[in-house]
Amino acid sequence: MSANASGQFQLVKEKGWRRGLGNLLQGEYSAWFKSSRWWKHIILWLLIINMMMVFMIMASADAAKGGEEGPPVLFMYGIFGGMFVAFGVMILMQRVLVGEKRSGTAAWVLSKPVTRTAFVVSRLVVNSIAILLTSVIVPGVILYFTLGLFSDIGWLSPFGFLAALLMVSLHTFYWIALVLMMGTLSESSSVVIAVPMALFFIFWMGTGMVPALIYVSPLLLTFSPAPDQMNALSVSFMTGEPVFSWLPLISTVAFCVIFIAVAIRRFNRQEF
Amino acid sequence: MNSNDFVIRTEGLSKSFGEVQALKSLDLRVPQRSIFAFLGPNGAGKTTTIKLMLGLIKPTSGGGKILGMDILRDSVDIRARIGYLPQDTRFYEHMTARQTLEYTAKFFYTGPQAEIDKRVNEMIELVGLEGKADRPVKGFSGGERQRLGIAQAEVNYPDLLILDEPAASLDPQGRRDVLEVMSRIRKYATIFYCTHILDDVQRVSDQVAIVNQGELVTQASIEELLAGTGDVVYTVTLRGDAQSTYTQINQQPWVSGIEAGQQGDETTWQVSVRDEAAAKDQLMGLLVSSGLKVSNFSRKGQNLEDVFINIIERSQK
Repeated sequence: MSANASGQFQLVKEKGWRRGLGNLLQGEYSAWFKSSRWWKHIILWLLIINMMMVFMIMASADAAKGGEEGPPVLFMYGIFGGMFVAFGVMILMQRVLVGEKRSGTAAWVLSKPVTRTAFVVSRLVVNSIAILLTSVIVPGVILYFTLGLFSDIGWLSPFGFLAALLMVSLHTFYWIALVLMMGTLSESSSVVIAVPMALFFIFWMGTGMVPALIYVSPLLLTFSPAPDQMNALSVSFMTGEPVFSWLPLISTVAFCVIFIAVAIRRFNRQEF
Repeated sequence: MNSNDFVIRTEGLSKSFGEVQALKSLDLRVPQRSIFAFLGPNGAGKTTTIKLMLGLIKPTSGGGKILGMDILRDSVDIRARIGYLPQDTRFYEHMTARQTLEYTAKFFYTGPQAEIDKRVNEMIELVGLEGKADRPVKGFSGGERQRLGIAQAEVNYPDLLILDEPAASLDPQGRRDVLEVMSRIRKYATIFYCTHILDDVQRVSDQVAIVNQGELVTQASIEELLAGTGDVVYTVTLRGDAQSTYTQINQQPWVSGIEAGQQGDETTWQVSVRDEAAAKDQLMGLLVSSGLKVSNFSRKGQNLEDVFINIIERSQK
C-alpha cells in the first residue's frame, strides 16, 4: 500500500481461501436483508405454502364432516414445501453465478483481494440462509401453529416437526447446491435451470421404472413419489412412524458435498 | 535500471484461447512511478494482458511479477496493492455509488468506519459524484459509471493503478479531469493504462508500449517514440517558379522525397529528409539561393497518432 494510506486503517486479516469472505458475505447479506427482497419472498412463500395448506386443512375438515377421506394434509406439505420450493430455488438461483459472470460483476469483484472459493462460499451461504428462512423456516413455523390450532391433526411433536423441517431444508439445500454447481459448469441460464428440472422429473417419474432411484434422490426427504408404498422422511418424523430408509438422507448429504466441491473446483479454474 | 525498479515485469507471457493466440511471449517492463500507456488496435491483446496480470485468466506459458510478486502464486496479494478500472465497468445495480465504494474499500480495510467513510467521501469528491452519491448505480449514465469506476480503483491507495480505457464514455471535461487525477496520482503510484485516445497519451504518459496481434511491437519513452520514427518532414511554402529548385533539392542525398501542392500562386512542399542535420545546414540555404520567396518554413511536428499508425502498419507487413 502506498505511503498515502498513512496506516490509519485496519487491514483485512483474512488469510488463505477466506480472503475477502467477510465482505462478500456482508454484501450478499445486504442484498437480501437490507432491501425489500426478504419480506417479498416471505409473502410469496406464505401465499404458496401456507395458503394452500389452509385450503387443504379446510378440504380435509369438510371431507371428514361428510364421512369421506380428505386430502393427506401432511403429504401435501411435502408437495408445496418440497416440490414447489425446489422449483422456486431453480428459478431464483439460476442467475446467482451465471448472471454475475455475464454481467461482469464477478470479474470486478474478483479483481479485488478475494479468493474464488470465498466468492462461491459467500453466494452459497447467504442464498441458502435466505431461501431456507423465507421458504422453509417461516412458512414451516406458521404451518406448525396452523395445524395445531385449526386442523384435525392437532399439535405435532415439536421435535418431530423440527426434524421434518430439517428434511425439507436439506432437500431445498440439495437443489441450491446443484443449481450453484450448474452455474459454474455453464454460461447459459437455460442450461442451469433445465438440468436440475430434468433431474427432478427423472427422480419423480422414473422411480416407477427404476425403484433404486428413490435411494439416490432427495425427493423422499419431503414427499414420496410412491405414497402408497412409502412415506417421506418428513412425514415419518411428523407422525412418529418408522423411517422407510435412511439412504436418501445419506445420499442427499453426500451429493450436496459433491456439488459444492465441484462448484468450488470449477469456479477456481474459470476465466473471466 | 535495477530489476526491482520495475513495477510490472513479464517474461514470455503468452495466452491462447483455443486456436487463437491472443498474446505471444510478452516481455514488458513498467518502471516505478511512471504513467505507462499500453496501446494497440482492437483485439491486440491489451485487455488479455491486464486480465493475466490480475489473475482473472491464467497464462498458457510464461509469467511475470507485479510489485515483486508472482502473478500466478501471489495473485490475491497483488490485488491487495492495486486498483483496477475494467474496460466495461459493471457494478451491483442495487447499490448506490457510496455503497459501492464502501463495499470496495472493505475488501482492503475493516475499519475504522469513520476513516472508511472519510475515504469514500474523498473519492466521491475526486470524481465529482457528490450529487449522485446516494442514488442506485442502475440509474447512472456511462460517464457516471466510469467516474465511479475510477473512484473505486483508487479507494485503497493503490501502488499500481491499472486502467482499461479510463477516458472512455467521458465528455471532454471528464477526460480532462481523469488526466488531472492521473497526473496527481503519479506522485505515489504507477499507472498502467490502455486507451485509444492518443492525444491523452502524448499529454500525460512517459512510457509507451504498443502491441499488435498479440506481440509487443515497441516499448519506449514518448520522446524516443516521437523522435525515432523515420523521416523528418519540413513544410515549405514558396512563391515563384520552383521547378528547377524542386529538382535540385530532390537530388540531394539527404532528401527522401518531396510532396508538392499548389494553392493559388503558392507552392507547398513537404520535404522528407533522411538526415536532419544535413537538412538543417542546407535546406534553407538552397531555397534562399534559388531566389524564391519563402513565406513558410517549418519542421512538421510528429504526433503520436502518426507514429502509432506507422508502427502498426509496419508491424503488419
